[in-house]
Amino acid sequence: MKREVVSDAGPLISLEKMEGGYSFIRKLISKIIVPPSVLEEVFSGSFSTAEDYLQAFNIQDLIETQVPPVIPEAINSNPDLHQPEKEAIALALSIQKPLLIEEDIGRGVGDSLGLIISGIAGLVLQAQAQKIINKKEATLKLRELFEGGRLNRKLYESLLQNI
Amino acid sequence: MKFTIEVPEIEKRPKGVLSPGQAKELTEAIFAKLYDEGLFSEKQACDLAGLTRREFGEVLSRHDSGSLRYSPKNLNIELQQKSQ
Repeated sequence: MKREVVSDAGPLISLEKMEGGYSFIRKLISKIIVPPSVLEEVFSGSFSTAEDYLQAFNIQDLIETQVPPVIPEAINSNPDLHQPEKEAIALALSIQKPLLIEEDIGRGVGDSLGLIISGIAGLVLQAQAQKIINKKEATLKLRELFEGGRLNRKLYESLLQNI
Repeated sequence: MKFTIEVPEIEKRPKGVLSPGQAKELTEAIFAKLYDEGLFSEKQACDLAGLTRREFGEVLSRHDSGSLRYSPKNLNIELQQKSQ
């Protein structure tokens, strides 16, 4: 059964780096919920509006924005978190959904608050384990994430050993 | 922590003085390396370099690195997805 998740900006950028990344993620996830600030961070610099971004990737039905609640102090007081990242963590916490996040500090905060967290690389492995994609496709997607600056070399090579 | 690389605005640079392009490339390489080694958080690196997260990711991709760094915990988080 496909899941609904909350996402920070990084995983969405990761999906852009993979050929057909958003089409791929639809096989695992039915809805990606983001705070407006995350969507703004993702489209800024490349598109004029959020709507342009969603149309360009044909994901108007996949991405849903939700205004986050008041950010809990345990999240808000952390100076090493980006503001959209704080909002994504707070949103995931408030609606109790898994959180896609690829930034270390935010992962630590999310984990400490009991959130289920993952990056896109993990979903590539999950898709292979569920035989949604084969080993060759999984290897290619991980390479795209590495070449796109989304995984560092050591993590990329470690993940390849586990395909 | 702050890094400053000053490049003189002169027509002919003496040997050993970096061009603005070279200085930018070197600065990016330093930030990428320090981030990769875990000495900066992503926010610290972005703030110091004056880059957005997307821009910093592009810098990392040019320097054989990436936003999601290796750590036993990060590896474990990704591997756990196989059994979800």
